[in-house]
Amino acid sequence: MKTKPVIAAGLLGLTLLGLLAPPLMAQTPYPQTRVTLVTHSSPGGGTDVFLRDLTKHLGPLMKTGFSIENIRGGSGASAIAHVAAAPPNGSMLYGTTPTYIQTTLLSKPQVGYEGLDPIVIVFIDPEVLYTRTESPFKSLADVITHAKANPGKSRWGASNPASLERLAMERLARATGVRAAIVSHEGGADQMIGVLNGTYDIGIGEVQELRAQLDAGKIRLLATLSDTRLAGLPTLATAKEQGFNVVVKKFRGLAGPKGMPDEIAKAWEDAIRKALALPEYKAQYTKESLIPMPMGRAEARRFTTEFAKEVTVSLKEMGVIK
Amino acid sequence: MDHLLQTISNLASFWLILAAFAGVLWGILGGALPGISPSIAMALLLPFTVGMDPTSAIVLLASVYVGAEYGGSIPAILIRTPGTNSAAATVVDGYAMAQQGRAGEALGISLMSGLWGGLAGLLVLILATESLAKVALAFTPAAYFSLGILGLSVIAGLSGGSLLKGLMAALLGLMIACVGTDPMSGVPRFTFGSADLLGGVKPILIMVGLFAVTEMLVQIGEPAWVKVVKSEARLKLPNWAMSKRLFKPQAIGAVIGTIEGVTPGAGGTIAAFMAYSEAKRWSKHPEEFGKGSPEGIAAPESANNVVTATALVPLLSLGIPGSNSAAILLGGFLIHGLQPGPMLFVKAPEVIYGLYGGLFIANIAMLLIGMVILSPCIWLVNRPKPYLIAVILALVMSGVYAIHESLFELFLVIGVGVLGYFMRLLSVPVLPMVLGVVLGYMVESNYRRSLLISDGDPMIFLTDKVSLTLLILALALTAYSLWKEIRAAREKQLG
Amino acid sequence: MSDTAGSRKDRLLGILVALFSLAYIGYAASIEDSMLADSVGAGGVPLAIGIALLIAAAALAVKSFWVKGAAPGSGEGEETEQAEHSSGHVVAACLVALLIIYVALLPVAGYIVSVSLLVFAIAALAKTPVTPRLIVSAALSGILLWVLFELALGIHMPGGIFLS
Repeated sequence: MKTKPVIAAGLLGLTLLGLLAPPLMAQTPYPQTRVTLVTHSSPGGGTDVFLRDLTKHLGPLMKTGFSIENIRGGSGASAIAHVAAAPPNGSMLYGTTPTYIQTTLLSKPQVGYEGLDPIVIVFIDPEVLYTRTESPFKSLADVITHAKANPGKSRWGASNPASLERLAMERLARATGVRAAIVSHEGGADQMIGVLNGTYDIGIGEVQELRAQLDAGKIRLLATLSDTRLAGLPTLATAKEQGFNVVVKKFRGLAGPKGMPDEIAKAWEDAIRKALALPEYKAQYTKESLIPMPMGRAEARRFTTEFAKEVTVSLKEMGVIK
Repeated sequence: MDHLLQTISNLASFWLILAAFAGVLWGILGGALPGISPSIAMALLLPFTVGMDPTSAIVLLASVYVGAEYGGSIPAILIRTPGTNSAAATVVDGYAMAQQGRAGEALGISLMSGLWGGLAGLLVLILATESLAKVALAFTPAAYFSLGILGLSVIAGLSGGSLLKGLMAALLGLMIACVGTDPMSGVPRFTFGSADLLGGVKPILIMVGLFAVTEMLVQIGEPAWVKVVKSEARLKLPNWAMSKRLFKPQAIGAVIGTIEGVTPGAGGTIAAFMAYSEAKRWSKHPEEFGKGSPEGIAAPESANNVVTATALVPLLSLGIPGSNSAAILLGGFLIHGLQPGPMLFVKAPEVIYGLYGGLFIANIAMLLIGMVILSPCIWLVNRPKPYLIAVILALVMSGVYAIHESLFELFLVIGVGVLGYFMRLLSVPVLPMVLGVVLGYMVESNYRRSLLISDGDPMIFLTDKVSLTLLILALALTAYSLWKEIRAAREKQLG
Repeated sequence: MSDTAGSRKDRLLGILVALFSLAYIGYAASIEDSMLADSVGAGGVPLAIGIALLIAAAALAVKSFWVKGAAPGSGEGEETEQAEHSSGHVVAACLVALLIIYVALLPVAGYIVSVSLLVFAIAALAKTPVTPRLIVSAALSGILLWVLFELALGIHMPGGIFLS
């Protein structure tokens, strides 16, 4: 307990340093001195880390202070409802991921993703397919050929049921017409063990989760499910290039309460574009294989609606929702 | 040996010692507050580690875990509320001892067992990480299923007399575990359209309801307040004779904790339950269990503290977080640009040896801090009973709120408390229910995964060697318990 | 005496749980699966658990008729007898009501006020004389717990109308 103020003081020092950094360019200051970014993820979780990294770079650009609030519960529904009820003055935003759309579609909470207005999209977090180094599969085509030759003998790992990753695996199986057992897990850890000990032919995950095994040479990447190749892994072919049209767009962005003025949305778009161009930030997100995809409000709205439509169709096709 | 020497050279660093002590203190506080799980306590500190040097940051977080696993036993013993999931098995005999006025003794046993457990786990971690990593990798879904079945096989030992009622309670627990998103098909089950239930019911909510709220409902209804037992106001560490008696349950806890710790997904709670049940089975005084047996505290408390070290095996050697706490620790590594996994031992060995050293200091810190803070804790629970009931409920409700900041979960806990009240009226044991809630997801999801993998062939549970071994073990333990139950019933009829 | 009471209780429990498990089985059977489902299906395991519970509950009820003498679980009789006082049940029910009121009050009155009122009300329910000392203790408990959670642990507790 006594140590906390000490550490807190250290952190405060860091924050002050960040605030005192020379302003990079003159622009009208952001109307709020303090902005709260809300996430449903717990501290240290995916969106939490994304927001903390982002605000480290946004602080000096927008000349405003940021705090991250973790509102868990209801698979994101509580956080969405909380932000939807905030004043639309740019003082509170929600860190979006496909989860907020999935939760809305699956559980129909009182306030869903439509209750928020997308402000910006920042990144696409690409999914990659992998296998263990000892496996005979060198490309996605090998996996599919094997699956076609041995119907019912293929086992593919996937993360949470009804997740984007699971839907992508199902789409891959359907598109190629193979019968493979697609096995869901809670998160990536069990799935990874299953791939490493040969229970599964392939698994799916984000590059960051696979980093340890990748560095140790224990797994081989087969394809990235993104539109283009990844800057950090230029030799890895996309599934599309290999002839399998499966793309997963796991986006990361921000949304706010409805009725936010245009100049605030514009301020965010400008700041995000500038932050993404910062060399220091660029080096970091390239290493993590995040694909920058800055979108302003109009584009983000279109993207989100489109995305929700696609997921709805997929979930309906699979019979998860009516 | 080389590992051991490297570790010892790290013991002297001032910042490391500070981080270990601070982490343990924070962990004990968090662990002792019901609702603040070890992973939440760690997550709360995570943002503050950004500016620290990597080794101190990791040691700080790992020490929180050590402290929290111990801290959870304090309210378990004093107020019948497990502060953490894995302290649930400690509640039974710990609280019974406290009610007999032996709270100080119970806390001393838990402290020493936690210490020995933590040190044993650390030794295993230093000497056997590489070979244990192979164990973690050998686990297929079929093996996980059988591990869950082995866990459920201890129901008999937790049923306190009526096996049938114990079974019913366990089945109820499994039903609760089924609430939420289906593990395979993603459809919501038993959520009645509520987003609050989509993520399932956290075991800690069931435990807080069944133990703490139920106990307070019973206590407040007791007609006479004269039955207040004054506990010894001081912590009492076990003497030599007691230490000798506790050696066996502690060793049982250490072995089970090692196995459960290295298999991702198993964890301290199951380890504690199994250690409790096995300690009872092999005890010279099994009849004392449930009525305040020191062994009933020593076994689960050493088991869950062994896990604080052995749970790091899959994280450090494979980069795979096996539990929520390990996931936060992984976050701590990543913040500092370190990637746990096979290459960490090559790239940043100093962090690993620093971590080993820090864990050693953390266990010593746990002993020292425990000795200082326990007496005030005992003093606190000797306040007049009406105040105590009021403040315990206020504390418990605040802790539950802190988990998700959800009012719904508060209502849920009250409801579970009422359920526990009726279970007590009808003499239905609650521990098997808790076990069912904890194990339900693991058993169901891996059962279905296995069948999916084998294309519907149930033989997969027998052809997988790890699975077969675990199933035979479960069968043997169940048969032994049944045989004992039948024999006891026959003796009762004769006598 | 207590033995027959025990077997009567077991019979009641068995019948109640059997009825519950029937309802549960009905619900489990109605769980609709998606195309993502495996051969067991989302309802498969709950169905099996429901049936097992039905069998266990029925067995308990039957056993209670059969074994009149030694009722199972009679070892815990002492504990049950204490709770059997009907006045005890009334006080327990009052406590449950207080807790529910507390949760309902929390978002409105805020954390400190609600907790202080809860502590006060429970202590009063437990027949503590209402003295200034009790009022001060209750208020102090609210403030201390708020300091612990809000300031020390940094967890946001509801502010309510007074603190927002």
